[in-house]
Amino acid sequence: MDLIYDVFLKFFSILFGGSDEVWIIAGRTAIICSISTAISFLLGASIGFAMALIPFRGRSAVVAFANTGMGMPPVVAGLIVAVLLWRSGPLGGLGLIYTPVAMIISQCIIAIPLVSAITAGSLMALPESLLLQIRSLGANPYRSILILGYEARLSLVVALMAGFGAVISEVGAAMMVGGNLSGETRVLTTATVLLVGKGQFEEAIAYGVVLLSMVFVVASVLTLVQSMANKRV
Amino acid sequence: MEERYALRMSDICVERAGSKVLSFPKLEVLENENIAVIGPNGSGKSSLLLAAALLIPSKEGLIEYFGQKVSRTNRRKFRRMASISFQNPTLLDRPIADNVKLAMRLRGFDKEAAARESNLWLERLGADQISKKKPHQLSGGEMQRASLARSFSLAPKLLFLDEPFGAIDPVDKVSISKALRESLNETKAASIIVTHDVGEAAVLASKLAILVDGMITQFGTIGDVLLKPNSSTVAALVGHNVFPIEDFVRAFRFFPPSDIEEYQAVSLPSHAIHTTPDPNGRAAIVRYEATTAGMNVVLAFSGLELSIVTSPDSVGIGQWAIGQRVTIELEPNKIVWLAK
Repeated sequence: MDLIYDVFLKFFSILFGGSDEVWIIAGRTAIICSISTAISFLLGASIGFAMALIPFRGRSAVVAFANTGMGMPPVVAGLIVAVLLWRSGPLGGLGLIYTPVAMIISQCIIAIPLVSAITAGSLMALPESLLLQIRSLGANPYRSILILGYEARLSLVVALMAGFGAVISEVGAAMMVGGNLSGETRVLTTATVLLVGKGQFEEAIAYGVVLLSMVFVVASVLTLVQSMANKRV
Repeated sequence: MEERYALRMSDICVERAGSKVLSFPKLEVLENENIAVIGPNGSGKSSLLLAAALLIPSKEGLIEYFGQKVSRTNRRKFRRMASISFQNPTLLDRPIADNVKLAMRLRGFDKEAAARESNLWLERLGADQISKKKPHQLSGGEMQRASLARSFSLAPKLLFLDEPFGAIDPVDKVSISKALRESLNETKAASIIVTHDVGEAAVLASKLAILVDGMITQFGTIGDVLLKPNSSTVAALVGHNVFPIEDFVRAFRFFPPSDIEEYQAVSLPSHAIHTTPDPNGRAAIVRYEATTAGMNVVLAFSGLELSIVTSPDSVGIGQWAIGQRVTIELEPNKIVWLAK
């Protein structure tokens, strides 16, 4: 019993014992992941709408590609970004390797296919007659997209949740292109990996709990939004 | 007075998913005219409506709305003159009143007009009680009422209705068809109505087009098409009995026409057949069949089967008991000889 008590004591002292480090890292994680999720959702949903609504040659191949991207291993995304941004790489001159921007780019590469595939899938599942009906009403393309987006709103929230989940939980790419630099690119996942490597399990658990709490809060908010959208009068 | 066309479709060829679904030289709808289209499943009826409503393109040919040519660049303008109601009513996931109002706002009605007209049409179509409900809370009949209210609220000059009674029960069907008939009379919109049911066609339209394999095989007034089908397929579609000519002549001991070689089949409408109960009759009632319009009794007669339209009432009172023998008389002037 004393051991468990000690672990809890240590855990609370890490979180609330005066050191701000865990909260600074959590704040940085929140900012980086929010930006990645927002960009992934905007680009991914737009690609999803285009895949679902614009008939073009090779569309099924593009959808298959996006579906493949849903299983994109984070380390591969990290590798691609690292190769591009490495100092001797094609975009090395931008000096982005080991910066939060590089992490955001790699996280977007992971999340965009997910968001676009879920968006396209949900729009394709709507009845064809719905699109024809909207078109028959004389809606311009912009209004048509808004109306269809509203019809698919529950799936769009799912896409947003999936994008956020992928972004906040990945560690391989963040490590590879962010470098886990203290005070610059260290986020909760990379910090946890580092602490486990050093055998500091109490601290690692504390970081893990903060990470889990963040995911829980975001998922709860999105679930609430989803249930409000699904509220059937 | 010169006839004015609401819609003219010429040399139409429509492909969907790589295969040809429509191909016909001409379909014309006069202003204020209601045309019904019937045809077997898969004959292209829905595609015809979608092409006429400018929602799928015709690879070839010409479509004119009120004398003006429709092109790729101006078709959105013309779409706004028409409205379409699908077989499975496509309503958005929001209250019914909002569905109607949104449609009207998209068509450029101002807010007050949209609120006023949507209420009016929902009431006319008997959907005012459901205006606050969402589509998933409605029955098939209620969805259809809402969809029709939306179509009429847009003040269309051309109306396209795909199986307006497809998924509704007989009680709703009577009241919706009455409301629909009145609305058509009032708006004076020209319309094309796709249906399976000759009875519905007769109630809602003055002309009938028969669509088979994407081609219009017969077009004329309802009476003309029903009384004088021009092929075995059309005759069967409008509910006639169709027999190869040799079988007909043999079974009925009918004196064949002198130019028998020119004909291939005989079409026998229900109203050309008269029966009298007779224990020694050559025909016997063998079964009943459900049809879109009601029911048929089937008689076996000299190796042929004859269907006669009846109502469940007459079966109920024992007029048509299974096994009952009858004699048959035909009205020769109502027999249709179908040319080869």
